[in-house]
Amino acid sequence: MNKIFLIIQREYLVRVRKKSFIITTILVPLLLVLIMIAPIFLSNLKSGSQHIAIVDQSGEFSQIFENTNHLNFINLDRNTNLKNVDKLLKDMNWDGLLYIPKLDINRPLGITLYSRRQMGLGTESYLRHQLENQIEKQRLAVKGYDSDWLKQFKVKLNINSVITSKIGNKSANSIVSYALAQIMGFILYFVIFTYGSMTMKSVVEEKRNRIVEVLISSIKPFQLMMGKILGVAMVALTQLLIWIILIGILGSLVFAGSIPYLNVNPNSQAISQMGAQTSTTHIEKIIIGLQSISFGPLIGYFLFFFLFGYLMYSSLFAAVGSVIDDDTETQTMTLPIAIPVIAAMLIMITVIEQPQSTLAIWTSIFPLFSPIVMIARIPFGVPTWQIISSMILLIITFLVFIWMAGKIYRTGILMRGKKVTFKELWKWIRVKN
Amino acid sequence: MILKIENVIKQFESVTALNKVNFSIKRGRIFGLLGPNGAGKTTLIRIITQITKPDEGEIIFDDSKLELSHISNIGYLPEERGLYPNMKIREQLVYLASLKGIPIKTIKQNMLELFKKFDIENWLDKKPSELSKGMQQKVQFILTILHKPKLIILDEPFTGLDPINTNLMKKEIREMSNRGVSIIFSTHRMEQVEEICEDIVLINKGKVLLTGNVDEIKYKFKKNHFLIKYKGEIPQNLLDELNIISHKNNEIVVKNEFQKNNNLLSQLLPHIEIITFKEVLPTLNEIFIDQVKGVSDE
Repeated sequence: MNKIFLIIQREYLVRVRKKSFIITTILVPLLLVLIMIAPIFLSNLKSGSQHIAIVDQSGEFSQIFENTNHLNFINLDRNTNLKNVDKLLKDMNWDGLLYIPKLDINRPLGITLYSRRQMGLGTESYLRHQLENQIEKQRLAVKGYDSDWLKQFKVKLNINSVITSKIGNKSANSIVSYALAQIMGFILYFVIFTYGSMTMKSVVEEKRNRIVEVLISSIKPFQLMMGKILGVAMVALTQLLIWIILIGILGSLVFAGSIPYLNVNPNSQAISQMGAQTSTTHIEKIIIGLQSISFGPLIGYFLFFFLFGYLMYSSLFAAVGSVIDDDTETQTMTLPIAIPVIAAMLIMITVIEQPQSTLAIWTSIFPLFSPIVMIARIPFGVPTWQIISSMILLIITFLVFIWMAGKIYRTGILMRGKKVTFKELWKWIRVKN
Repeated sequence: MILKIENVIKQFESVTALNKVNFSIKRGRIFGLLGPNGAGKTTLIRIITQITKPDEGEIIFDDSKLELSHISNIGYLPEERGLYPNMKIREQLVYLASLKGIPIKTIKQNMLELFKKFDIENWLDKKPSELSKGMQQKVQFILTILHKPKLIILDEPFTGLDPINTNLMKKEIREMSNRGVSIIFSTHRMEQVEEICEDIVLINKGKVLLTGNVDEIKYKFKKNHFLIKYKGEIPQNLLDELNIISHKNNEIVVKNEFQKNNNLLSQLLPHIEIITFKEVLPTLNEIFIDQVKGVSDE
């Protein structure tokens, strides 16, 4: 056991000390959080403090636009010459110019927003909603109704989705489950591939450097292989844990920082007054959804399926690595491993659309697919018997695979200059002792 | 005896790699393990180093049955050898030796001692990728003897080494042997065997052809060839009577089986002045080729 520990230690330290490891470990969560928050911030930054000139031919609309922290309106003379709008915008340093012709309220055509750059969705929708609101009012007024009278009929709805099974009986939000399922499924796919092939590379290197015979004269081949697999697993675990912690910290910091900011955003306030679905309510939903998920068990399941999914596949990768003699063989030999991993990922994408379908149930129990498919199903709620049978099958498959891999590895690492067929591999597995 | 190989059999599918192999190695001896390619040398070494197990037979190491704990008493320099190219020599020697169960303190102490002895202390913080192949081989040799094992197995240790380093290594091998360390030297380079080995075993196609002391083996296979260097002229009629193996200038090799050497000399003395007279023993190379051929001719 002590010797396996030495192998684990070396495999771990060699990798963790690498610059590339340190960089990806820190950069990935930063990028992920950036990607998540970038759209929110970008839309806000654009509407930062924009100056919009208004040419209102009828004079009926100019009063509906009120200055806010983010938007400044300048009312221009209705006869302003618009032949050279671009020069005007440039000279005056305005972000946009809204032209409202004399409108037929039954056919309100010809409203134009001139700008030198994209104005940002928030600003545009604010302008549109204000105009729509005003035209609505006018139409109602023509028929003799007050706009307040209409408000009493407006309805604002939020559908509360509740899963009634034991596992998921808390109110959960399908958007959050969907996102979590996708993220976890993809991370597992990525981890199995990256770290599986890292194990393979490590085996190939020792074979190619010809150090392997010295090694196995000191320790048993199985110990060497196990040490490698576990060493790389520790590297993966370290990276994942750092990711989870960093994303957790960064994510909550950024969220906490952005929520009040979003609430004072005049655009969204104005828009929500109109009763439309807005980004604020989306974010509220996400926060409620996130709060409804019990992250403890989820992280537990995630680590379990990561660990055994990785162990199962990396034992195959190690076996393949021991057989490979030159790079040209790598592709043909890794293909049989890559196919189920890629298939699992594709199945996962369909399964999260219908997480309780028959396909979902069986593929999440089948051990070659379960690490990726099951983890993607769990946020939606999965019956206990399915999770347990999936876990047991995965452990059993891992044990069978590691035993087979040990047999192949033992013979493979000392083989040179000979192409090995799958038939031969089967022979090696059956050889006793 | 440091090592006894008793009736060892190893079969790979249809090939019998070792067929009832028997021999033993005395303590402190330099022992040549000889055989053509594919004779079973590597298989035998891998059984001694416990990389593989024999199908049948026993191996006795240091008076007890070979077991895993013996690993720390055996040093092995395989023919297929290498180092981690990007790991510092110091770190990798500590790592590789500690896998044999040697305490780190001992490793560090022995490592410094040996690197000083070979005058390569400044290599310790280099990586193998910065060293030449010959230099790497020197490091590997040090790794093999680092844990002061009782038995050292060297498989073709001199390939790729320049004459200076070859001599350095030979010197170290002899010194270790004088200290009581036993050495198995596996090769098919006969001149090296003759130079450094005291005992040998010759195997071919998984079978032991002969084993024993090098000088004894040479005597056993002697062909009664004698070299005579002389001045003067041997008359033709006398030459016709002799069984001449070779004759050039004033040097003659005669096969003298049926009469005493003194008789032969007294026949020659009236005609020539004799400068040298000595027995020509067969080289190991000749014995090797004869024996291996003999088996394949059967």
